[in-house]
Parts: sequence; structure tokens; C-alpha cells
Amino acid sequence: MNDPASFPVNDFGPLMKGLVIGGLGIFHVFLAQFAIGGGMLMAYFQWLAMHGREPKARLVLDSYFRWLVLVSFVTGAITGVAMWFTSIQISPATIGVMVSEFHWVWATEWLFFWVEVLAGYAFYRYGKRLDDRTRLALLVTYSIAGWGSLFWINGILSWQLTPGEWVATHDLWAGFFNATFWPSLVYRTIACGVIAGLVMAVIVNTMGELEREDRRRLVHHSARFMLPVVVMPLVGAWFLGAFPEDSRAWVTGASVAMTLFLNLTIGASALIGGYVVLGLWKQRLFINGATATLLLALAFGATAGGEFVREGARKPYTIREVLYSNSIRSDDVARLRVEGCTSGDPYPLRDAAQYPSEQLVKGALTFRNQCAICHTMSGVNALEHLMGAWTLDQQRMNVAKLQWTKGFMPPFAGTPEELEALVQLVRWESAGRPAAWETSEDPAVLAQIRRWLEEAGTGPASAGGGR
Amino acid sequence: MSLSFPFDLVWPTSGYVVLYLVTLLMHALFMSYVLGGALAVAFVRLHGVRENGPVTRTFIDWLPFALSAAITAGVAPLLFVQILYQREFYTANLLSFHRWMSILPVLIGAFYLLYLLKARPHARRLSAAVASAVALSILFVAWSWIENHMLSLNPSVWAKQYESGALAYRDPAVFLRLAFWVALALPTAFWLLVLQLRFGASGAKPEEALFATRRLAPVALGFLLVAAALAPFVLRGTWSLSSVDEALLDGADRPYLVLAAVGVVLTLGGWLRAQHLPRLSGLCVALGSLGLALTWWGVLCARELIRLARLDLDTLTRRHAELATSSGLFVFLVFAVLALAVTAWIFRRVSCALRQPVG
Repeated sequence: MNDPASFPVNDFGPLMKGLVIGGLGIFHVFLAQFAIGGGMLMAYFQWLAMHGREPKARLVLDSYFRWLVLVSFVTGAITGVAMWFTSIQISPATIGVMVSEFHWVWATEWLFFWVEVLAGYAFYRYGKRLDDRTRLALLVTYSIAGWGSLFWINGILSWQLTPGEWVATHDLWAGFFNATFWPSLVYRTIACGVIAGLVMAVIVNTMGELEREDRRRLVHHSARFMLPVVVMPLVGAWFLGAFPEDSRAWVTGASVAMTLFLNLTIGASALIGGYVVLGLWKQRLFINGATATLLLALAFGATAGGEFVREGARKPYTIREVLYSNSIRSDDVARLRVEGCTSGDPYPLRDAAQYPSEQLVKGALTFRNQCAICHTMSGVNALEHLMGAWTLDQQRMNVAKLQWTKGFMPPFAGTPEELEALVQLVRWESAGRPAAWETSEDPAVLAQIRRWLEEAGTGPASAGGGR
Repeated sequence: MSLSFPFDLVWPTSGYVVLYLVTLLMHALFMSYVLGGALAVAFVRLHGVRENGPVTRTFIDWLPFALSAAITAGVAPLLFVQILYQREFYTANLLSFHRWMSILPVLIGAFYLLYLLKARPHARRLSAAVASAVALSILFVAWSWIENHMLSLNPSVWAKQYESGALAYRDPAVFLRLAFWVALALPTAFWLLVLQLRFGASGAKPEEALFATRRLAPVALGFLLVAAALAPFVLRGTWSLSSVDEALLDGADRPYLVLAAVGVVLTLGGWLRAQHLPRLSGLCVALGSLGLALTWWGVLCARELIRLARLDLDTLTRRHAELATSSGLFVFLVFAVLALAVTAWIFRRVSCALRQPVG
């Protein structure tokens, strides 16, 4: 495994890196789930057309598939590559471990992606000239390949939260079929269907050749396709039940932000599910384009909330029990407490001249290697805002006992000198970056910091132990 | 003369390199079609040619699919390069930062422009502007990849590059290398187009297809010769800030450059026959296609040997051996066979269905 300090770290300015990868991830997941669910829905509509159950099925299917190609094949495919590139920018250590451990799984996922694109394009290009059986065969192939790619990638993503036995044995399949694999897969599969069905409600309203009654009927068919949404609360509970205990605690009260997002997701999903089941399916209501778009936006919100919760619940890790969210291996904390997190960093600061002392340069390097992945100095989730108002000793102790200060933070992985340098940097920034800044090198202070670090231990809060 | 690379490397490095090269070759063929096609359409439209002949018509029709296939095929070498050269590839990505990441919105833009071009092929000014924008976009992506590759091979400049905050790696050989890849992409794209035209995928009449072949042949041959002349210098980084150590390379790339040269000769033969035959013969298709495949294989193998000569092979092979302890290879191979079968089945099923009238 590469040492995280061996990679250069980029500054995203006032933007928190997590927001960048999170925002892109939500967008990509939504498009990918639309692509997967869309294929299944189209196969269902093709079946309806072949059995004479819906006269307009074939017409709407071809229109829908054009949207699927234009939106999902284009932006969805490139945002998939973008996820890789952005992951490298944010945390090369994390994506490096994921690729190293699961490269054959990823390669297998690529085979499914290849078949998905090939079947999809064959349908897109020749669908209107093909017989019904070939159309159905292509759509079913597309759907299986699309769902298969979800199957493989779901194993890797859920492994990050619940690697289970893999941590001890490094048995790939134990890691792949982990505790959250199945609930996550079922949950995402239902979500795929719902997103696809809601997109259908939007698209039928853009088709001028359809009468109001046609639209109502087509939306009703989509609503039937979305009916598995009724079991979503159970699957959600199953998913949450499979979370590690501390992760579950974050999202059920310990972290206000995560609890809020979870509740928003549940609320939005309940509204969508209720409207689909009671309104669109049971009462066969007509839905216009504006309402359909609003429901789709609500589904995007639910996806965003769900992804935020899933990502946030991993804290303080990006790969549970292996790699902390700041790309430092849990096994390396003790070593870095002795050697320091800045000593092996081959990359100089770009703006070293603006710091009035060597200690502040060291503080900036410490910030870059330990904090910058989730925090900024004065932008989003800024250290200035989070710890600027603390007293000097409070800053020292809270950072030394970081995992106990906030349970979703990793332990500080550096020397007392680096910790003091970081504290001085925050104070210098909070003071408006004055031209001169006294170096703090009192041995008694460093000794106290060392004692606090030892009291805190090198494990995460969830491991228990010293405070 | 040994042509056993990459099979002569120790396992599992050899396996990873084979998969990287095979998937990179797939990607390169589709990407060449996109780059060559976009440049050809832009050239024709910028010169005010009104006609919507089989060359521009076919390129415009197939470019969106080709770009999609290029990106899909590109995911696999992107995975294998992360396995083979993780430290080098990631560092180059990070050093190029915004500049590197900008290839993604550029690609999305190019994709939608291609669909716009397909939807409005007869709007002359619009299509000239759109085709030029697409060609420039693809050239930008190619340039970025070349810079990334060259930066990844020069660790001695990494710290300085980072400190400077520069988003571009200023090596004079970058543009020469770009010229080489463009020179190779154009005849590749044109040959693939000729196969499409002559086998009816574009709906062109036989006389139209023959005429187009004759028009394309001298251009393709010219660029092929330029690529052949540039290859040994460009790949070895002769005019680069950091060229390969000849002692370490020990001429290992020469057999592959010879192989590429043989490929060029075969391709020339294919073109020369194609422009005289009203219908393409099997021999002609085989000559041109095999020649092109050999050219690309030779170039890609030489490029990889030169890269390996610049890195610490022992460290790499140790790391690959560590990675190979991860299971999943068997599952991948099973699904690879299935994916090939399904791909063939899709082609067969669609082509059979297209021959029958829809009831």
C-alpha cells in the first residue's frame, strides 16, 4: 500500500473535498440508477406491447430510450470515469486500496458495462427496425448487464462500511458478500425502479402525440412497476440494522446532520412511495409534467440524503478498520506519532514564503496531511470556525484527544511538535495572519501534549480504551 | 529478435500488461475513429464542401457511438494502469489537477456536440463549428493524456512541478508526440471507415464507396508514413526533457518497432489494393486490417517496454505479486468468455433480425 504522504495534496480552496466527491457521487448514482431501472422498465413495456396490454407502449419506449441514451449513456458514463478521477484527487490512498483489493471484481464489472452499452446502442440504433422478440431480448440483456454492474460495484461500496471478516482474513469474497451487501443491493434495486418510473411520468408528459388518457394509463403501468417501493421501509430497516453499532448511532441521533439527512430521506421516500401506491396505482390519478418533475426532484433529494448518510456513517473511516477518512492507515497511527506525518512528505508547500515561521510551515504541512481531506482553514467545515474560539489549552487537548473530542474523528497521527504547529497555525489564521508570530516550543507544553496523546491512545473512539 | 513481450515478464505482471495492452488497443481503435473522424468532418466542413458525401455522412452517423465505445473500452485500461503503475499514474493525475479533471466536462461537451452534429448534418456553418469544436476537444483530451503519461515517467520533476502550481507539464516533446498519435489515428480511422463503406454499414453505393476509398488513400498513406518516421524518436522521448536510458532499454523496443514497420507495409498494401478493387477482396481486408493491428501492437508494446525501462521493474513486479494474491481472476475469466459470447450473440441476432422484414 502506498504511503499517503507520498502523494501530492491539492487545495480545493474554500470547497470541502467531501462536498466535491459527494456531489459528483450523488449525481452519478442517480443517473446510474436511472439507467439500470430504465432498462428494466423498458423491458416491461416491451412485454406489455408484445402482449397487447398497452397500445402506446412501443411508441413511448422508443422515446424513453432516446432519453436514456442521451442522459445516462453520455453523462452517466463519463461521471462514472469522473468518480475514479475525483477519488484519486481526494484520496488516492483509498481508491488505491479499493482498486488493489477488488481489481478483478472491477474488471468483471467492466465486462457487464460493456455488454450493457452494446445492447443499449444496438437497441437505440436499430430498435425500430427489429422484431419484437429481438427488441425484448436486447432490453432484457441490457437490464441484466446493467443490474449486474450494480451487483459488482455494490459489493465494493458496501465493503467500505462493513468489511467484516475480510479485515482479518483478506478473503475477497468474505469482504464482497459483507453484512450490508444484500440489503444495499435490494434497496438500490428498488430505488432504480422508482427513479425509472418517475422519469417515465415526466417523459410521457413531453410527448405531444399522446392523449391525456394515454398518459394516465402509461403512468399507471409505471406505478405498477414501482410497487416494490412498499417494502422499502423494511429494506431500509434491514440495511440500517446491518450497520456497525457506532455507525448506526451516528445516523440515529449521535450526529445531528446525519440524523437530519436520514429523516429527510425517509420522509421524501415515504411521500414518493405513498403518492405512487395510493395516487398513481390505486386511484389511477393523472399526473402532469410539473408534478412528475417535482416527484423526480424529491427522488433526487432522497438519493442525495441516502448517499450522504451512507458515506457519513463510515466515519471515522473510508475503509472501516483499515483506512481513516484522512487516508492514514489505522496501523500507521502509532508509527506516525513517533516519526511524524510531515517528515516523509516530499512535496514542499506552494506558499511557504507567506508563513512567518518554520513552525507555521510545519503546521501547514500537518494540516495538509491530516485535515485537508475533510476540512478547510477558513471555508467550508473550517478549522477556524470549529476550533478558533477554544482556549489555547483546549485546542491542544481536543486535537490530542481528537477521537474522544468527536467520535467520528480519527485519532491525531503526528508528533506533539506537529500538533502544536497545527494549533499555532489555526491561531495565526484566526488572528488574521499577522506578519510576525512567536514560535511556541515550551518543553512543558510538548510534554503535556504527549501525555494527552498517550491517554487518547491510537485507536478510534469505537474501539473503547483510554481517554 | 524476440517478440515475446509482454509474455516474457514474470507472472502476474505479464498478465496485467497483456490485459492492459489488449484493452488499450480496443480503446485506441475507437478513439482513433473519433479523432480521425472529427478532424475529417471539421476539415471538410471548414473548406466549405457542401456535399454530404459518404465519408462525412458515415462519420457523423457513427461518431457518437464510437465515442461511447471509446469511453467504455477506455475504462478497462484505466483500471489496469492503476494496477500496474498506481503511484506514477496517481501522482501525474494529482499534479495536473484542474487541467486533468477538465477532460471530463470537455468529453461530455464533445459527446453532446456529436449528437447535435448528427441531428443537424446539413446546417453548414453550424456543422463546421460543431465538428471543429469536437476535434479540438478530442485533441485536448489526447494532449492531456500525453502530458499525464510523460509526467508520470519523470519523478525527478514531481516536487518542483507541485511547488510551481503549474497545471501543464511543459515538455517540448509533448506536441511532437501528439502529432505522432494524430498521424496514426487518421489512417486508422480512414481504414475503419473504408471497411464500413465497403461492407454496407453506411448505406453507401459501391461506386460511392470506391470513390471515397480513392480520395482517402493518399491522405491515409501520407499520415501513415509520417507516423512511421516519427515513431522511434517520439516513443523513446528523443527530444523530451527526459529520454529513456538506452543502456537500460538495451534495444528491447526495436523488434516491436520493426513489427510496427511490417504492419505499416501491410497496411500500405491493403490501401493500394483497396483503391483499385470495385469490391473488397478478403485478401485486401486481411492485409489492411492485419497491418493496422500489427502496427498498433508494435507501437503499444514498444511504448510499454520504454515505460518499463524507466521504472524500477523489481519494485513493480513485487507489488504486482502482492496484488495477485487477491482472488477474483477466475470469476473475471468466466464472465469474459460470457461477455464475448453475448457480444457475438448481439451482433448475430441484430444482423439476422435486420435481414428479415418486420411483421
